This record gives sequence, C-alpha cells and structure tokens, in this order.
Amino acid sequence: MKSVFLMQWQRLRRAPFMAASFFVLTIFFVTVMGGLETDQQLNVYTYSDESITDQEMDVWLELLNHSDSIEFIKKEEDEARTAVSKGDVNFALQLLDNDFRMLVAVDDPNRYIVENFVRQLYTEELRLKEIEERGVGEDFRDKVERSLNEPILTVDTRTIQGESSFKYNNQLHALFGMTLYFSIFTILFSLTNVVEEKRLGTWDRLILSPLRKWQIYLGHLFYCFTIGYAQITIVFLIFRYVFGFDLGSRFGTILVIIGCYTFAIVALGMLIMGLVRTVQQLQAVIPIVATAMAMIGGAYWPIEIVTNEMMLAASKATPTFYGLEALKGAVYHSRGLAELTEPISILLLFGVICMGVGINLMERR
Amino acid sequence: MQVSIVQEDDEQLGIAEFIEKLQPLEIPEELKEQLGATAHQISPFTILNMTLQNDDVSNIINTITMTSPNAEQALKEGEVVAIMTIPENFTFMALQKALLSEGDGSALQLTIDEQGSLRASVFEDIIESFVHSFNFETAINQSLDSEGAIAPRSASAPLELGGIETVSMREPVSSFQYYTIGIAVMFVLYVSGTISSHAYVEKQQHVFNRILLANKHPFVYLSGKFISGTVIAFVQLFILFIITSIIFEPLGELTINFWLGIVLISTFLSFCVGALAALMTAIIVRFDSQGAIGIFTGGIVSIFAFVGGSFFPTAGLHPLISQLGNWTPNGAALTAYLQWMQGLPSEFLITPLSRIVMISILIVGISVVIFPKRRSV
Repeated sequence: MKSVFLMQWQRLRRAPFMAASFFVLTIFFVTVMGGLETDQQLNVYTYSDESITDQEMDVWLELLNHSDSIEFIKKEEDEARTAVSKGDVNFALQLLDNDFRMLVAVDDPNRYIVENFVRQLYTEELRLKEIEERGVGEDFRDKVERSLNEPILTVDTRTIQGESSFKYNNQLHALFGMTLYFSIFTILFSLTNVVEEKRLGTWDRLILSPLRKWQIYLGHLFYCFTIGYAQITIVFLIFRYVFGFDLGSRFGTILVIIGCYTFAIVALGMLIMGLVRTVQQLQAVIPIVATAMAMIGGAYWPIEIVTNEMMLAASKATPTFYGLEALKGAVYHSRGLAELTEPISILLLFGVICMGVGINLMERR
Repeated sequence: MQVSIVQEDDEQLGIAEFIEKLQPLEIPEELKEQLGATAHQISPFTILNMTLQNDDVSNIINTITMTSPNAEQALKEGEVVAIMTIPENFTFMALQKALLSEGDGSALQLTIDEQGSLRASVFEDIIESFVHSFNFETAINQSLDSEGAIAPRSASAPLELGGIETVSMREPVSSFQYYTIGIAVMFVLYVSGTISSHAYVEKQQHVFNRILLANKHPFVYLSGKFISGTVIAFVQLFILFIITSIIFEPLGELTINFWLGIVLISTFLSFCVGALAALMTAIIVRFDSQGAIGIFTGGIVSIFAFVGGSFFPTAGLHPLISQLGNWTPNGAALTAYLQWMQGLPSEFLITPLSRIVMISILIVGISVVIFPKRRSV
C-alpha cells in the first residue's frame, strides 16, 4: 500500500501543474467573488426627459443619494439607453415629473431593491410635498424627522434556533463554495491515474504482484484523500491567517467536516471510475459532475435563494450540499460535532454507498 | 409562501383600554372623542391586515393564524417560512405612543428559520416597509396635530408610482431565459475539451502518425478537429434551445427572423468552440499532456463562465470583470443572444460577433503555431 501511495506522489512531483493550478484557481475565485462583491456599490444610471428641469433632477438625485448602498449617477438619456441595450448595466432609472420608470433589459434581483427604494422615497417625498403645499410651519420636516427617530412600531427578527438574526456572509460563502467545488476537480482528476494504469496494463501487473488488492486500492484512495484534504485545509488556513477571514473557534470540527466531505468525493470518484471505460469518458464526465453538483448543491449561489421544490430535492442528493451545511453550522453558529451529526453522517453514508458500488463495478470488469 | 400569525393581543380590548385611559385626562371632551375615533382608524393590526390582504401581497403570502406552540412546530417542519407574533398589549402600546406620545411603542416579533431564511426575508421586507410607512404617516400626523391641522390618512392607499419600460417593444429577458443561455454558452465550451481529449488517444495509438504516413498534411487532422468541434457545438446548442423552448419557456417568438438570428449567433459561437478544440488538440499533440484538458475543462471554462456572466449577471461586479467577460467567447455570445432576444436592431450584434471572430482567429492562429510541423513529432 505504501509503495502505491508513494508512487502517486512521485507522479505529482513530475506533473504538479494540474493540482497546482486548481489550488491557485480556488484562491483566485474566492478573492474575486468574496472580495469584489461586498464593497461594490450598486450604481444606477439615472436620466430624465424634458418633463422635469435640470434643477429638479438634481434635487431628486440628492435625495436618492442619501443611501449608502446605492449610488445614482446622472447620465444623458442616450447614454443610459445604450448602456442598457449593450448589457453594460441591467437597468436604469428614468425620472419623470413626480414619477419614475425603470428601464429594464434583463431581469436582475437588484432591480427590485432599487425599485422599492426609489418608490418608498418618492411616496414619502410626494406626500410631504402635498402637505407642505397646504401650508404648514417651516419646521414641519424637522418635526417629522424627529418623530421618525422615535418609531412607534419596530420589528424584532430572530431565528427559531435562538440566534438574534441570520447573517449571510458572502465572503465565507465564496470560500466554502469555491473550495469544495475545486477540490472535486483535484480529487477526481487524481483518480485518473487508476484508469490510466488499467489502460497501460500496469494495473494487471500490480494485481499479479504480491500486493493485495485492498492495498492497491487503499494506496490510490489514500493519495486522493490526502491531496484533496490538504488542498481544502491549506486554502482555509490561508484565508484565515493571511486574509483574516473569521472562521470561528471550531477549527477542529471544520477539519473533521473536511475529512468526511473529502471521503465522500473520493468515494464518488470510485463510483465514476467503475462506470467509465476510458480516460476520455472520465475527462468528459468530471467537469459535468463537478459543476452540476456545485450548482445544485449551492456552491455557486446560496441554496437559500432556491425556491423550486425539484431543485431543492436534487440538492439533497449532492455531497456539496451537506458539506456546506456542516461548514455553515460550524462557522456561523459554532456548532460542535454532536449537533452536526445529520450532515456528517449523510456524507459518510454517501461515501460508503458510492465506494461499495464503485469497487464492485470496477471488479466486475 | 405560508406565514403564520400568532395573535397574543386583543385588538378591541386594546382600543377600549386606550379610550378608557383618555377619560381622566384634562383635555376637551371633543378631542377625547376624536382621539377615540382615530384610534379605531389607525389601529396598527387592522392596517397590517389590510396590507397583507392587498392583492399584490396576498398573491405571494398566505397567512394562517395559529397558537404559538403550533406555529413553532410548523416553522420547524418547514410548513411556514416565518412566524409573526403580535405581542400582548401591542395595540394599546402603539396607540398610546402614536396619539399621546407616551410609552415606548410596540414591536412586532418575527421568527424565521435559518434554512430558507432568504425567502423569509421577502416577508420581512414587507413587514418592515409596512412598519416604516405606518411610522411615517403617524409622524406626519403628530407633526400636524401640534399645529392644529388634520391631514387625511392615506396609509392604506399608496400612490401608484413607478413602472417598467424596456429598450424595445419586447418584455425584458426573464431569469429563466438568461440562465438557459448562460449555461448553454458555458457547457458548449466543454465540447472543445471532449473533442480534444480524443486527440490524446489518437496520438498514443499512433492514429495521428498513420494519418501523416498516408501523406496527408498534418493540418488536415487539425482542421478535422476544428470542423467536428464546430458541428457538435452547434448541434448541442440547438438541441438545448429547442428542448428548453418546448418544455419550459420559449426563448422568443416563433418567427423565422428571430430564429435566423439565433442560428447566426450560434454559428459564430460554434466556430469559436471549434477553434478552441483545435487549440487544445494542438497543445495535446505537441506536449503529450492530458493535464491540459483537465485545466481547460476545470479551470479555464469556470473562469470564462464566471467573468462571462454565465453564473450570474456581471453588471453588478467590478467593471473590469464585465470588460473581460465581453472578450470571452461565451460572454460575447451571451451579450449577442440577450440583445437579439430583446429585439434590438441587428447593428447591435456587430460588436459582440466581431469580438467572437477576433477571438476565434487569434485562437486558430495560436493553434497553427503550436501544432507540430511535419516530421517534428
């Protein structure tokens, strides 16, 4: 077993480029997806036609730009329309006389945020104006402002699990999702060695050698496990210590979760290995399996935004889903292993089933 | 979406209590009566109910009144996405604060589950916007009351504002259509990987050498890869478009003109995929490396898909990313498809399509340079 295991490392040493590139890709994607999105303001191109004067427009723009998260930028009508048509932006805002329109090309969730924001602002501003026209004291606006600072009704949100409020952390989601996604590639492509050995006949020679069958398997599997495990752990460590991501206090639990997830993926690799005949098939299957699992399991976008029942049911069949669940539990809510038994045991079960079926299929040939 | 309401407050009792509280105050009888009437009008729970039964809201949210333990059970089982609890004395406290500026007001309690809480946040938004407009209206009235004027209350009848306009006469492209195209242009790139992975076997099994021995120019082999990549990519795209159009949502109207445009864009994209297949083939034949395919299918395609907007629109990201995305084959094709589906005039297609052509020419050029010349293999 040791010799098979060490041989794989020799191979890695000779051709380290692929494993290294997935490692670099993970770091690149986490930085880009986690880094750029959060501090990026939402820019909205704003224009108007002749129905309002330039000054009126400036007044509205100033009101609109009180918010920190959205910036409304003044543009000429042509410019805004071209930008929307060309897809540089997905929507723009047109200011009219006491009304507004959204110019939309592609459905974009941000549009609803902007539309609601602008509608609320308009409703209130128009209402205030309407009353002011009927003649009220000068300090009317200040009074309203003051009353609003002491609201009559408030909303108090908590989760049933007892935490004060749910926080979705885009950076951590990018880290978990992308790391789990790219580790699938590293692990599955490492298993290509097995198929290659079978094709070249080395596999038969190994079987004839005094090595036991289980030793050969274990050597390969242990190698894949180690490289996958190392990749995920190193990425997590880099982001924790170099980029300062807050991974909570339960790093031990995280290590166990990574182990279970890696095991599930290695086992899945075994199953795929049993199903394909050639390296070429394997190369076609791997990206499709990895990308599909990542998409459905919620590695690209949070599974919480998925509403389709079918997709939700499908997500429950991917190890990515349980890996992410367990990691979120450990980091967001600092749960221990005892509270995470469900996702972890499903990962292990998934691994055992795939491994069993996979080895059987491989032996049948 | 189901939401359960736990009512721990008695609204009528709260109003009655409030009117009772008015009695000992040293204000004119008339004003007392008026305040009592206002209390009936602005009782927050009534207005909240009106908001929730409004057509726009009741289309997406269905409320069920439950007791607290039942509601928690239902939330845990996922039957409801949120619980809204109206605490005891809610009406009384709110009225007292709104009309007499006494006390601390009231708080609505929302309980949500971690799972699916992004869905619950829609409900949270509705409630928050209700609370905000209630506070706003009351603030106006408080400010006016002190001036002795009375303003008509219009909390339940918001103005009709806003609306949507498109760049052409068509509806905006829906999310479903967007992702159909986005994922299609991503997965079509995998065709290059599949086509070129056969090149490795052909090299190993000396098929390539035999072709050379048959006195064929090596570029015949390369152009074969190019053509097969193009054809398969085109077929794949069309099977996908036709199936999604039939089963789910049509990409657009069923006119010859529209589909000719789709064919045109698909052809350009397919040529680019063919070019990529040629490039990958050249790399594999030259360097004898299978790893290149792995890096391409796993890494490069993911990067292209990401910056090209296949996963989600890049318009909200850093401008540099959308700039880069416009220069990826899938990103440029995505832009072209979307513009065509919005019914923009065909001049708009020139920019993205010419980009695809430039990318393709560049890729073909590189692959010709990399591809081993005669007798060098």
